[in-house]
Amino acid sequence: MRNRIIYALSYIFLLTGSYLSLLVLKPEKTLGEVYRIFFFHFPLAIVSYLAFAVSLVLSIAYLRSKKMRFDDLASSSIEIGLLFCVLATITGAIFSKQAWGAYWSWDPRQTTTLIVCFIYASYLALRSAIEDRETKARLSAIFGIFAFFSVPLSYLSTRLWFSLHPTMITSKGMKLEKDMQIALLVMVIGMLFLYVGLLSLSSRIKKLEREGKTFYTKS
Amino acid sequence: MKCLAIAKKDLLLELRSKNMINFMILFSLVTLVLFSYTMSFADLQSIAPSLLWFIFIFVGMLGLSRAFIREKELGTLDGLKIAPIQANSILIGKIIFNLILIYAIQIIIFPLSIIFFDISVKNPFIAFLVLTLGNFGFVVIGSMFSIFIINAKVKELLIPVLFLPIATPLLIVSTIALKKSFEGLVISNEIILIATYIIIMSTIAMLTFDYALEE
Amino acid sequence: MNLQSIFIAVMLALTGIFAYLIYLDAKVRSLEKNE
Repeated sequence: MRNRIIYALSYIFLLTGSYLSLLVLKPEKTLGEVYRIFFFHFPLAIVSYLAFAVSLVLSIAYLRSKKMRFDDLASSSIEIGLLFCVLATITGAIFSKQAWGAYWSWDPRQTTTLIVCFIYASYLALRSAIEDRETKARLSAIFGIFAFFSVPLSYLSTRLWFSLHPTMITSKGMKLEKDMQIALLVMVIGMLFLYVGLLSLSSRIKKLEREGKTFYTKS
Repeated sequence: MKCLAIAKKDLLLELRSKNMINFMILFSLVTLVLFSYTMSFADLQSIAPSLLWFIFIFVGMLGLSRAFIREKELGTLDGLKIAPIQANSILIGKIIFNLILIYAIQIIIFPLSIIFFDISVKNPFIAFLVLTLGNFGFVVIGSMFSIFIINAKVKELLIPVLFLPIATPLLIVSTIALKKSFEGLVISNEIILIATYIIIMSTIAMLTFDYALEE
Repeated sequence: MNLQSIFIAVMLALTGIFAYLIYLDAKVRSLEKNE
């Protein structure tokens, strides 16, 4: 029941946010119409980083308690975070193309998001390469800790590179009026609820698979 | 210290059989010659820093994980686990061994690359420092991740998949630092970043290695 | 591609996604109940 409520809330917030950002808000001063995709890009990015942060806590929790539930949650959180991060990369590239003329500008945030996608994709690769359930949980928890701390390090290193090779003179100024802030907040909350709903669903599926009730076979 | 004993054991094994170091040197040499042959001097000089790091980490990836895979194959890993030493000593011992390996490769390859690529190193001491710091970072990560590899299927394919994304920040900064050392520029920012990377990753490795060795 | 049609596409996509999620949720719930 609780899950249905979360889905409903997420649906309402996301729908409202889309409505506001697409139909209600006026075109922005410097960027015209294209800025609207930012209202999808930013919530995706921020919720993905939150998902990764949550995965750090869950990974540590697994190592200390050895309760499988934490591993279910950690891997689910990373899967969802990765999905949102890939979507954020794509929407960011579209935004970049429309706003500044190039899909990719190697700017720190954009490049970091891409590196983060690879980092957590390799987490999933590690998981798929280990068969024993307990070993899989243990090693991926350790890897998850490394993965998370790579994120700020990636950001710093790409920033260093960018300061030496600025590829575009971008004025990232996008003034956020009050009504835009509200729309953005609505979308972020909607994405957050979506994340929670997906997390719950995914971890419950994993738990069922652990207990042997295979989920995806037709029987 | 026990970790030195482990490093010494691996070194002796390696000096006796030489199976890893020969392949690593050969691989690096072939790559160097291949690139010298196929690219113009101007191109070479501009990509030399990143090419060099690529050679070193690829060779390192292949060699590093051999350290642990061989242990698993020979069954000596269990012996290490029940030995009366701290788990971290095993890791430090492996790190020392791998560091020596990488230095050995670099001593041969780096001067050769200067000749082949016709690059001028304006500040050799800084270049050495960059190589040292970068080595340390890559070796810490590589040694730690080797534990993951030995438990997995498809070991060799998994090594670059796991290692490269997490090593990307270090690779970026080390390449910039090496390039700057060729040109004789200041690298204070780079050193701080590499040092931060090493400190953070080493701390995580030390804290989690116990869990990695569990069965 | 005007904004109205984009919004309708988004709305349909969201509805489809959440319908699928509720379906999955029901399936999971029934499997959990088969204790």
